[in-house]
Amino acid sequence: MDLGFAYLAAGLGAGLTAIGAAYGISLIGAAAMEGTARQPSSAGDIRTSMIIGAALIEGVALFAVVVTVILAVK
Amino acid sequence: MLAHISLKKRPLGGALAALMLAGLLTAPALAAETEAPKPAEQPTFTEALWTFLLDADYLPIPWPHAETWQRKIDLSRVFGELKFEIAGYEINLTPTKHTVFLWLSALLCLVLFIPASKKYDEKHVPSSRGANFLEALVLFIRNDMAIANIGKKEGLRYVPFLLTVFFLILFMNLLSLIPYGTAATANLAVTGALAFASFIVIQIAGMRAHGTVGYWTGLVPSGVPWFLYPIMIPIEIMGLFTKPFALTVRLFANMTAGKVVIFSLIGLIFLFETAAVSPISVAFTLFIMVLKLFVSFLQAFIFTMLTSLFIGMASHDH
Repeated sequence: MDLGFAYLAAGLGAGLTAIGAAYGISLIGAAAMEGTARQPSSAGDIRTSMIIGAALIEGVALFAVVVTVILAVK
Repeated sequence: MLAHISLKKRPLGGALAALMLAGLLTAPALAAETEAPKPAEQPTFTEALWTFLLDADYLPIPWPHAETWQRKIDLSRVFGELKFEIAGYEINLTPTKHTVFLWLSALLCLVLFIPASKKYDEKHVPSSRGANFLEALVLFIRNDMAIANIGKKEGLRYVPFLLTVFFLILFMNLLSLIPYGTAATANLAVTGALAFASFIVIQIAGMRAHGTVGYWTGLVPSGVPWFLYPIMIPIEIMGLFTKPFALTVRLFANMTAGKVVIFSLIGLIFLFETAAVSPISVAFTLFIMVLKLFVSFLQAFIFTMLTSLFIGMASHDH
C-alpha cells in the first residue's frame, strides 16, 4: 500500500515535471523564434543563448526526475 | 586568425588528470551494483534492462557463437583484482566495461590530437580533411565558448581544459553508437568525476580573478542587508554545488535515456512475441540512433558551454 503511493507519486511527479519543463522550454523557444525573426543577423547568438537556457531548465527537470527515480526504486 | 591555437601546450596533462580522476571514481561506485545474481537461463524483462543499463565486470566482444554472438572477457582476470579497504569501506578499483570505454575514448583523443597538433606546429595549416574537421571544432570551442564567455585574455587559459572535456565526452558518447560499444557517460561516476573536475576549475578561476579571500567573501553580492546573510550564505554555497550536480545528472540522464528508448523499442518484439513488429522496431531504433548521434554532440557541447559559462561567471565581477 505504502509502496503503491510511492509509485503513484513518482508517476505524477514525472508528469508534472514534464509539464513544467515543457512550459519553460516553450517560452524560451517562442522568444528565440521571435528574436530571430526580428533580427536574423544575430540568429547564431540567439540560438546559443536558447540552448543554454533550455539546458538550465532541463537541469531543474532532471533534479525532479532524480527525486522520482528515488521514489520509484525505494 | 588561425595563427595560434594553444593545442599542444597542456592538453596531455589535462587529459591524463581527467582520465585518472574519472578512473578512480568509476569502479568503486558501481561495484555493489554489478554483483546482481546472474539468472540461470532466460532473464526477465527487468533483469535484461539492468544488464543493458548498468556497468559490468566483463567486456563483450563479437564472437560467432550461435546464441549470444558475444564472448565475455573477464576484466578482473585481465587486469587483476584491485580491491582494498580504507577505514572499513571496501574499495574496488577493478576496471569495468565503462572504464575500458573511458580509456578507449581517452586513447582516441591522444591518438587524434597529438599528431594533429604536431603537424599544425610545422605548417600552421591543417593538412587533411580530418584535420580540417578537428580544427573547425577546436576553433569553435576557442572562439565561441572560451573567448565569448570568459574573456579575450583569460579565456585562452582555459581552452585546453575545455577542449579536453569536450572531446573526451564526445568520444565517450560516440563510442556507444558502435556495435558492442557502450557509453561510459551513461554512468554517474564518470559524469560525476567530469563535473568534479569542472567544479575545481571553476573555483580556481574565481580565486585567480578575485584573490582567494576576495572570491569567497564576494560570493554573497554586495549591497545585501546584513540580516539576510543567514539566508544568503547557505543559498550561495548550495549554488556552488548544484552547478556540477546539474552537469552530472544532465549528461548521465541524456545518455541513459537514449539507451532506455532503444531497449524499449527492441523489447517490443519480445513483448508481442512476433517477428512482424521487428521492421517497425528496427526503423524506430535507427531513428533514435540518429537522434543519439545528435545528442552526443549536443551534450558534449552543453557540458563544455556551461563549464565555460560558469568559469566566466566566477571570474567576472558580480
